Amino acid sequence: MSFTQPNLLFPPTVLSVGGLTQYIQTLLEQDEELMQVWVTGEVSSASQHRSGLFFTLQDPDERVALRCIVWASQLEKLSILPVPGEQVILLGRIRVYPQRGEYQLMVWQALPAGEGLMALRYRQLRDRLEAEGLFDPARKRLLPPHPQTIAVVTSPQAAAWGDIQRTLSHRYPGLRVLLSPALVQGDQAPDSIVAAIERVQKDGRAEVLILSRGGGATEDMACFNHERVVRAIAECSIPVIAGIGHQRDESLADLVADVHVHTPTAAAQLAVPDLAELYTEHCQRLNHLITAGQTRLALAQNQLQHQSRRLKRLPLERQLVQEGRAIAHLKQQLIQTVNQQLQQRLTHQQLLAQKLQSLDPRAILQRGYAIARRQNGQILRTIAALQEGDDLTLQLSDGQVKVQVREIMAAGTGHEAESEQMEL
Amino acid sequence: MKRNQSKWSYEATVAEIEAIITQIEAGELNLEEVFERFNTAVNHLQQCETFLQERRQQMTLLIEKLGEEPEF
Repeated sequence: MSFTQPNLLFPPTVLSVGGLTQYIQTLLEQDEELMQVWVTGEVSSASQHRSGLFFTLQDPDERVALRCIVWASQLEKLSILPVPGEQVILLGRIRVYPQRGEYQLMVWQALPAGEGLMALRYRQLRDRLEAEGLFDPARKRLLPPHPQTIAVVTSPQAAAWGDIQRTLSHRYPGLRVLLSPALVQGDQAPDSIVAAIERVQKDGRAEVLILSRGGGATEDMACFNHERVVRAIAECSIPVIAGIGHQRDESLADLVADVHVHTPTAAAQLAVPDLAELYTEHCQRLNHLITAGQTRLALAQNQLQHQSRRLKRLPLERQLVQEGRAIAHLKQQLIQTVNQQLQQRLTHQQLLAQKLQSLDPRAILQRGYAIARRQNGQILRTIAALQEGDDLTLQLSDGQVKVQVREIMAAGTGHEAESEQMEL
Repeated sequence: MKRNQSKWSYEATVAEIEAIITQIEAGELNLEEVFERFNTAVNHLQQCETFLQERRQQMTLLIEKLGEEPEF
């Protein structure tokens, strides 16, 4: 302090403007509270100059205004830029400008107030979790196509639970549903939701988990942006369907879940197949099988018929008849030929028989010829070597005669000899 | 048709049926194989039928509440 405080026990000292202003300046600028102060209000006007951003902060409840300045060098360090109409929270210090007799707030940090603040926190958390890869599409798991047991994390009093039950019982009656109750709004909601998810995991039977609540005010949905909830979903051992009713942005729970939809009903529809549809597909499949089987069978039958027809068309009858005739013909030929041969042989044989008959010595003998034999049985054919007195035997047709040669005459010399020989 | 104890899967059975249908349609099986596999597929379909019918006959969901009752 470069000057002494005025003494109020004494008659007032009249100050100069400079003196007063200096006093005010010291008062304001040296006050501990005002050297670093947070203030909230609504930005009512702003103008940008080369040196910095000048704007006015209004009190929304009272007609009070505060002039503010952000130096150009500081502008880029602000989390948000003050924009007319927006509620902000500013950090700065009070400066006094003696020349203008004004005091201003020199701002070096600005944050969004109210909804804006929540939005900022949301943004920061979202960026951090995204950087960790929690929202990565590659992390998303496929839902089991046909679960027999599913878990639902929601409030039993919420309309969401009713919707889910209705949808599930229509689609898949007989499904086992594990309800793990949780608070879905308020300060205790995040812990409650995390505990509910853990309960489902410990039970171990569920194949998929639905996290759901109906629509509501933004503040009420805050639990679904809570870091613990997001991590619990990310680390859940079974796929998670987020069916959180929203009007605007997706919550972080939506982003980290394996699938997210906009209503509890939609979540239930994703979780289980429609039994009626499955049954229709089943019947179609049966028909398909039967058709395929029948088609294949018909094909085989057609082939068979085709071959049968081809077989029938073959001129077998005709061929058989032809063959029959041919054989009959051959048979006839055979018989004819054989008969002919037989006939020939017979004729020949008859001829031979006749010939034989005519050659029969007995017939010759009967005609009057005789066979002359010597004593030794040898048949006489010539007169040579014959002598008179030789004994001969004459064989006639009805007996034999022993004779003696009386005379030998050569052929042609005496008709009598021949006739003698012949007449006996 | 009884399901055997080792987790009968509707999906797996359906997949087998589809495979058999495709094989029959392709026309490369001999007739004896066609009959054989057709029979197998019919058995599978019977299992599926039983499974689905059992479900449809349930009128409601089997709902279980996990954990102790928290105060709401």
